[in-house]
Amino acid sequence: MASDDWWKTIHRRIVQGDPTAPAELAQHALPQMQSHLKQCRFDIKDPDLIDDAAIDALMSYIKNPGSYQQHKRKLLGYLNMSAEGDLRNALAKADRRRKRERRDESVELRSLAGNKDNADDQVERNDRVDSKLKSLFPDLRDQQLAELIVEGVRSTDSFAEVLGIRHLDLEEQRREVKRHKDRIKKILKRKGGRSNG
Amino acid sequence: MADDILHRFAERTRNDSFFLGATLEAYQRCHDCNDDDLATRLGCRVEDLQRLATCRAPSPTSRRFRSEVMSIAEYVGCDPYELLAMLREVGATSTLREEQVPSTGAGYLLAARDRKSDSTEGEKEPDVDDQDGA
Repeated sequence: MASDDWWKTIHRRIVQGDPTAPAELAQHALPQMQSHLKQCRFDIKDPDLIDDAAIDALMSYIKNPGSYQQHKRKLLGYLNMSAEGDLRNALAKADRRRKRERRDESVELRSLAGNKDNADDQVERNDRVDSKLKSLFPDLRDQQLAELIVEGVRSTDSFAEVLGIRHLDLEEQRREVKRHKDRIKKILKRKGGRSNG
Repeated sequence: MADDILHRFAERTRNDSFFLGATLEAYQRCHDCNDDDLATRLGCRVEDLQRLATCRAPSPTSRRFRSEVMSIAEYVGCDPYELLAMLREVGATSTLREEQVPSTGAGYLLAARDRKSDSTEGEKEPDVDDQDGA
């Protein structure tokens, strides 16, 4: 196990652009980040997501070490937190993709059942909604939040995943989620959209 | 398990020019060689290539280039002069490619083609597409 001094030194070397520091950091940090993410008990169907999240977080830090503020926490803690955020985002993305696929499947099923006009209408409506949300919310995270509101999702957890704040305690998560939902709903109302969340 | 994630990381660096992995990838593509061949050229073990790939790629224009290459070679346990030569070769090849791109990807090739067609009118011109990968 590396000492506190080792972590401080490796951060300094990364900042200075020492060419071997990324390799040395990866040897120490990646296995520990991997163990940490496994202990977080995420509902993960694809185990590669864990490795990718750890690697994404590490690469991002190596390229932009200024994002780490040494006085706030230890480097490994920062990397673990960052990897958790990446993993939550990846899981939320996979979840949205699954939901979208299910929605498309149900449209297809209705189409097969002979209700073709309604199915076409549904696809057209979904496309219109997607395009409207994209125009209203240039920020991808806001788009995802708006999508959840429009789909009628109510769980704090789904919003917290998109916001990357699941590490906060539940009360703080609720407060943050409410603040963002209110903000998004206000934009939806002002621009003529309707929400049901 | 730890080895798996380190291997995966090394693989990811092969598409990222920040890391030496991208340089190794470029060299291997250019010479159509595998990890064994590369390790032989660099005088190291195949398993050392993983650590080499995850080092930051030293900038050939930096005044510290040579000393950085030496320190990477020492860390990995490979021949510093072979590594230096390989990095210079890959650097020179990519610089040449970049210089050709703005002039619709074939500045030198088109000039050569003009001269060739002037001097050998009526002959079949060579297919320049084949030279893109050179």
